[in-house]
Amino acid sequence: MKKYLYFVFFMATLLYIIFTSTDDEQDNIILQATTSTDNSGFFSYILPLFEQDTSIRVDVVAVGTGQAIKNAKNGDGDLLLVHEKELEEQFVADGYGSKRFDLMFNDFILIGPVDDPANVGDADNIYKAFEKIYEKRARFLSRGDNSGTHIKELKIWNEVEVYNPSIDQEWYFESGSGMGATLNMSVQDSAYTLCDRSTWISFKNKSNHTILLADRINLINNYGIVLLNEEKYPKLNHNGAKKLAEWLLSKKGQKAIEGFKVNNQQMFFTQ
Amino acid sequence: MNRNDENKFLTASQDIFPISMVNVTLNIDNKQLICNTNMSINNDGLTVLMGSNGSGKTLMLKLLHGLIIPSTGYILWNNQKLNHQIKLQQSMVFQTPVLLKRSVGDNISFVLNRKMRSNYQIDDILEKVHLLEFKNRAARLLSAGEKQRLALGRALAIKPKLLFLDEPTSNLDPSTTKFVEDIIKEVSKNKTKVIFVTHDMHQAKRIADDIIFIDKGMVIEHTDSSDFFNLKNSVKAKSYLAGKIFL
Repeated sequence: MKKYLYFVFFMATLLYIIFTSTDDEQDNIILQATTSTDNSGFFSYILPLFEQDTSIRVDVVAVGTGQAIKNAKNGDGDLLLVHEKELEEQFVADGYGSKRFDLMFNDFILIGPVDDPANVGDADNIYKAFEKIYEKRARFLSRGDNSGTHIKELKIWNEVEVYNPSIDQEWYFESGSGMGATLNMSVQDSAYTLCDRSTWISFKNKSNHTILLADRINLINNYGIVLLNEEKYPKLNHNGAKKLAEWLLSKKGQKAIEGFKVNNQQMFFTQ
Repeated sequence: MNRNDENKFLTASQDIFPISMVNVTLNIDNKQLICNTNMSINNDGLTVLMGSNGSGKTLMLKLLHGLIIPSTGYILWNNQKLNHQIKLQQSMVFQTPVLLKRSVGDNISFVLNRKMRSNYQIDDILEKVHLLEFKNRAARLLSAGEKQRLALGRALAIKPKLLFLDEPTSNLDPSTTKFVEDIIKEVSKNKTKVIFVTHDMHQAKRIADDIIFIDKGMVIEHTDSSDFFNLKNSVKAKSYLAGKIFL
């Protein structure tokens, strides 16, 4: 009887050690990132590779760039991965971040209905295309959510001297939503929309919409990774964050980024 | 197509039925998600696409709506390929509504042809979905149920011949669900063909005239609702109704 009780006690202790030590060894970090990157399937592809090498679990919070930066300022993430270089650099300059790195790039594209009522397909570049949309007052659907895509779009409108387009109600509309949801609406309502290429490639409900203009000079879409300031946010998992950043920037990580394809098309490129 | 052409179209629209799927398959990322489907849908009755999660109901709906192009085979609307005129006669309500960053009233006016649009018409639609009192409210401030009613209002605003709904009540409370179902049943009786996706057997029983039962990307049955629920059907459908099919 005593031997039996000792055996039971030993097994119980062993099981306790196994299950609790597993929990302790699992490190995890929160990555504040963008919906467009998430919608493309990039994180579902790359993070398991990182987790395999490091045993660090990464939880992604995917929102617009503006919201992701705001969340990071609030200390709600261990690392930031967005695509608006000026805002990222400002984030570091203001003391929220410690360092920013170029991670990868792709491009934005102008999508719209195949019949192209504003004839943007004939434009030489994105600025001329936006001018044509404005001249025709053709339907344009913006994300309107302070995302990197939205900010890029507003910069183009500014360049062609169409300021505050959301004030003109007749042809310009905002979904206030992520890229996938905005594309669904754009397709349903035959509107033009600026979109990142990777989301468009992954997007399944294309119907009669197509890429009407690509402009790789003016529409380069740069993604950066930003480490948070350790002094300002002492309770974040800076070690885990550094490991993810280092892995993504390493030869192995950069090769993995270039290996990410949807429908046999490469989605992101490295420097 | 410019606005004048749209006007002419809307006053003399073409017939889009039956919808015929011929040898349709859909492959995504090297997986066959819809398998060699042949099917015809007429304009009478309220059709429910039913099956367990992951069975391919939403993909089938999107194929019928023309949002997704089949990998092989083809889909015809009254023996025609999808074109702009056919698209104009269709509307879809998604599970999660996407609304414009505007007022409730502006969300309706967005979809209306400029010539047809009037305050009276917008009010009429808002009244139908019980949102008239919120006409000037920002759409983003609505509750989930109110947003879905607005999405339904937008879909109905163009008086579609064909209305697709992808599990529109899955996030709604019982009273809003009943309200939405009542509108859809009424719409179905008034010359709009409704194709409705659900995995909720009780809902299907309440609203369907005919059922298309899908399992693992294949249409297993297409039959009258009464026959389907009285178990005069396939082994797989019987198992599904008994709760025996799992992912």
